[in-house]
Amino acid sequence: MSSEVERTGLEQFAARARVPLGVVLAILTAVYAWAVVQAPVDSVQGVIQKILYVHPPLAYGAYLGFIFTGIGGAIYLWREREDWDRFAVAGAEVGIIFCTLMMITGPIWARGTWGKWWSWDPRLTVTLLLWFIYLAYAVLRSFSEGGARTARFAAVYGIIGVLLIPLNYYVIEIFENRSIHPDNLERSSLGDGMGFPFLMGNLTLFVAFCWLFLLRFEVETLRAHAAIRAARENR
Amino acid sequence: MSYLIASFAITAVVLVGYGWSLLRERRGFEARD
Repeated sequence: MSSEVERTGLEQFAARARVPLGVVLAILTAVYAWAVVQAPVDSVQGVIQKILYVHPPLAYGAYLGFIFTGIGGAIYLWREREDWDRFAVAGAEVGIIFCTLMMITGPIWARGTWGKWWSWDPRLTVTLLLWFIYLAYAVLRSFSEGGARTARFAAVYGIIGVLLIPLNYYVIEIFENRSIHPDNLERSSLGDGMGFPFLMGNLTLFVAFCWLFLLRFEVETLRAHAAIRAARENR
Repeated sequence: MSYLIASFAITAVVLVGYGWSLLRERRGFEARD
């Protein structure tokens, strides 16, 4: 009997797309760095305002990771295919990395503009809750022995967690004047010359997210296939 | 300025470090195969 474990179409796509995406990422990173350096200095906040080019793109990456966890979980429940469960795990882990970085760059920006590292502002509080929810998801996955029961529970948990994302985004509007966090960005929010670096920040960190996600998914697949091979050999 | 540099530096180090650790794990699987 062959010890090879066949890859699904999803897994083959992830392995093929990662290398060309890495080349695109390297080029984008260079343009992004140049765009941030040449971006104009804000007349009110000064140079610290340039954190704008990294903080919101990290937040979008975190949202995307957790949405991937919800999508992967939903398709796993529907189709009962383990590759979608691995897709969900990869989304959660990369989302947590992006969310953690968002929670580091945010307080640095706050210290420079509000004069304090943290405030129990509605946006910050819901973001912390979102981070804890997916951190708990990752802890659950790492401490359990796997199997369909764990995957089903994690899928439901991951889908419920996604419901917090619209609340996180719109919480500033919901609480109106009671939030000190700046409003969600609109087209007119950015000053002259700030649109291009902001676009590059979003594009570069989106591609970085995709590259890391594909790599994490591939590693999760390799781990699962190694476990299957080991189980076959022990039989 | 130091806050700005810290934000970008932490982001770059964490993302590169995370990617590097994943690549190392992936290479480990390849070496075993």
